[in-house]
Amino acid sequence: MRNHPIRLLIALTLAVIFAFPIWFMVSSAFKAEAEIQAIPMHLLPWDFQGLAQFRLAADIAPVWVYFANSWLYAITHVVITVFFGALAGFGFAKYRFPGRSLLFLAVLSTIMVPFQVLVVPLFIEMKALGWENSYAGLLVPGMMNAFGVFMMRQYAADLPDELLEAARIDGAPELRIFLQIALPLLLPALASLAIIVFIWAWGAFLWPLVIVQDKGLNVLSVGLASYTQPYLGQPMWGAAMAASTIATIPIAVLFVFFQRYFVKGLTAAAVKG
Amino acid sequence: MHYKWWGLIFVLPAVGFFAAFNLFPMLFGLYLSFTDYDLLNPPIWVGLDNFVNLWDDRLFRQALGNTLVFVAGATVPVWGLSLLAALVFDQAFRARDWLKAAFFLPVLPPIAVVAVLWRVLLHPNGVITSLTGGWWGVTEIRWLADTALAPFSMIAVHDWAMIPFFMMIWLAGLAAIPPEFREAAAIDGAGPVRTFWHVDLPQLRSTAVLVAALSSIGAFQTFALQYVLPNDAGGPANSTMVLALLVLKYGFQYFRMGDAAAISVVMFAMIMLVTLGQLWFNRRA
Amino acid sequence: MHILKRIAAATGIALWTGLASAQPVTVKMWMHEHPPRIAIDKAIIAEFEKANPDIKIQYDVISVADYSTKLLTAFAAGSGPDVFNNTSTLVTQYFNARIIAPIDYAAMGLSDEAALLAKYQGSGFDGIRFQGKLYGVPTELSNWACFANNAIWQEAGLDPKKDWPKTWEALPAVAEKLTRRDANGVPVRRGFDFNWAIPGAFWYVPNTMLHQLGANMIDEAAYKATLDTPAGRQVFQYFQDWTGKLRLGGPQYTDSRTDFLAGKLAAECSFGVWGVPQMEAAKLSWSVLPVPKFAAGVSDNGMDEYAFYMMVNARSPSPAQKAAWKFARFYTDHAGELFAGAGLFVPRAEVTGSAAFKANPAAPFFVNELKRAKFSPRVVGYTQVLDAILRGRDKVVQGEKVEAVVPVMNEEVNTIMNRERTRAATLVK
Repeated sequence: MRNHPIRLLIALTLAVIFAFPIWFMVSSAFKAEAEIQAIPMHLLPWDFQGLAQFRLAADIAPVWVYFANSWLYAITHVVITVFFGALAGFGFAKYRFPGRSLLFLAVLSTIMVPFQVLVVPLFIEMKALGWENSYAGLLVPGMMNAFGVFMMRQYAADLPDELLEAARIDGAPELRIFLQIALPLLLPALASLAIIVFIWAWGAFLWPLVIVQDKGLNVLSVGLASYTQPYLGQPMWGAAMAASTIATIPIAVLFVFFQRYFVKGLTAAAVKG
Repeated sequence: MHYKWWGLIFVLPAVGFFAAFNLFPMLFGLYLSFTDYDLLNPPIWVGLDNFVNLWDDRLFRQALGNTLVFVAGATVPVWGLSLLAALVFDQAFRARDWLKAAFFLPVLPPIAVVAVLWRVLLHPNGVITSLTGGWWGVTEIRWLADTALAPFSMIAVHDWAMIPFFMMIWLAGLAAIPPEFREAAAIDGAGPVRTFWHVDLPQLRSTAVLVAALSSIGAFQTFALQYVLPNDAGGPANSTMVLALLVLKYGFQYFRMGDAAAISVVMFAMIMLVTLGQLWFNRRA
Repeated sequence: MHILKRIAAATGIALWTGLASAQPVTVKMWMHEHPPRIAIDKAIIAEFEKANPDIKIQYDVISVADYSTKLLTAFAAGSGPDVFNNTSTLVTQYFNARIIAPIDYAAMGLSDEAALLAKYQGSGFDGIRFQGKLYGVPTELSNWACFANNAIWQEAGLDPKKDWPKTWEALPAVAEKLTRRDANGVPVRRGFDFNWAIPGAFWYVPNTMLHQLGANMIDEAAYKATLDTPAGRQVFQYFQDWTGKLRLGGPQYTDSRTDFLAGKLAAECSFGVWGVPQMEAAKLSWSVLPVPKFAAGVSDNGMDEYAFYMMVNARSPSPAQKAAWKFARFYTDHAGELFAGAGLFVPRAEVTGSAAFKANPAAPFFVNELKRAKFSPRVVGYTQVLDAILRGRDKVVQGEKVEAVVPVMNEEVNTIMNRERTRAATLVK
């Protein structure tokens, strides 16, 4: 490793500027309320609160309910998008059926549409189905993502045709070919897609905001706002930071353990596109 | 080759889903943009009135301006700074992986967390004020309450959260450049700047377009910061009201669904224009 | 065979209707978040359910900031509550959208409107009467007055009862004496501030000031905005000076109610009589004071009054609506407890004659204030109109010229009102 003092200095500055707010968030979750806005800023809590702020966060709002709902939302999105995305991607890549290009184009076009265009009509659609303010209304729209189909098609196209043909000659039904041959081969891509979808779904804000009225259905993203706008009381910064930390931990864990898949999948998909 | 129909069967769940929850709403939304609909009573057809009235609508004009400013501030600096960061982290040096991981932290929290976190940091008498104005003895900077500063704060927070993410994409693009090219340039005696200009940049073209497209599309749709950061969503005196947030306001606060749909159609048109423009520019140059 | 069949059918029908009427009716109830009142609500509900085993009340409390939006969203989605409480500013919108139902006196167990009105003294129903019918029952009639924190005043060598300014013009000087500033002139403890956090506060206070000047924000009869008048400009200039030149307060500081209860604000004017229990709980030594006037004002009115009405969802199924009205009567008959525990005033004998009323030192003061209070104008599209006015307020606070901002704001409000009125006309046929 050659010594690049200037490069190191710049990198250090960048790292400090960008990492500092995250450090502030986590350290504030353990500080006493008055210490959070102390000037000059305390890097570490002088008055360590233990888990008090986390308990307070749970008192102010049902943060663990939100946490559970966020998990439910993220997992359903991951499972559905990954499985049906792989299924559809496989279908588009390896089968020449009439209307294939048209259907694929139609699916692809949905990626281009910003969600704001859909949010009002989807809300009305949910109302018509009777799904407003329910788990069905929260989870179903957006459960499948066209990006998943797109990405899986790219990877499925690379699957060796000979393998599939061989299985067919052996008399295997098509579904079995997908489940037992294609899926295992696609596993790394599936893992990357799963992580990408998880991160998107975990951070989803617009749709839950619009569709949910009951606190019991809320996800973390929307619930966090209640820490900054309470009625007749100071915003509780410590509790807000504790809740924010709770909301960040799953992604952080994912990143630590699956960094390779995450980075590789995201950039590969992006570059391929 | 009769098994080809299985392909259709395989894609049907996804296609069916998108038809029901993407394509149909899109068309329905388009229809709504030609109506006056308050959700409580049946829609009334008004033709192009919603669009025509938008032009006279002061709030819409303000949101349009704010959106353009925000998108500009959220794409150009992000594009440039993330590229610079990628160049810094591209070569190995001591502690590089640690520093890169630290630099990457802003990507981890969901956008709602970013907003709440910065709301605390940008308190007028808070941490960021002391770190910046504190040097000159300024004790109160109204980052989120001043109509001139608030839009800038939005851009700054958004850029902070996005630059590390796009750096990753640049790094992937840089990694894809065959090392022989760089070695050939080194043999020819080219310095780092020359190498970058003549070797890296041309190879990075598709990455550059990707970063530009992704960051601008994302910027158009951002509203969470403008919703959570200021005291009232859309910022002091609507200085941070952007089109994405205006759709929410017209649709779910005023219950003017037709107007909300019209605004979202305008947004879509703008995104399409910008994206197509970028693709065309790529093809030409 | 015929007779047997008939008997079987009759039995079947009797069983079925018996079952149906024994089915518990669930009434979904939403109230806004007012901590002292919540415990009382629950007690009243428990009592009601015991007395009416076939009615179940599903009680939900919604935060004040989200309440009105959530209500509308829920109504729009068809999942609105069956019975709910909300303030008089929004009832016009509910009426025009045909969300609220006219009172069903029979379901309440009353003979007619006169029987209901007989329980009340005074004009609290004015805000909920549309086209001759009543659409809700008042659960709270209120207006704001000013409160001073005695301790802070004494510390500054002042006596609230003597030194409280009689006019808006005199207020800044008094507030300055009570304000503590840092080296940069930033107030670290304010003497007096307006409530900038609650949007509705900026509906009541300017309306009050305009009434005092003999003017109005909206001309209800002509249905026009009347903000762009010398009086209107004067009021907005006052707020601009308050936050700018005089630097006595503003939206960037903690809201006035929170700081007052925390003992960090010397005086403010956004509490009603219901604020007294909260001040007692915060162990403040307080004085209640009349709202200032303008030196050249023509009307001696206090803060505009507002009411909270309990209303029933017109789109709920009929059994739920009937049960809801029955509950509404039961609830409002407990006015005595609601006043004693949460300070919510309604002009009923059991309130004005109650021990709690007589024991609340601020109560007579408020009753007097209510006598000379006016209702703020009722407009359709209140949310949008208020937004336009808040925009004007924010621009003025940022330093833009009042002469530029007020006409624009007036025009925006007119546009909104015209639009909403045109639409309402096409619906209310």
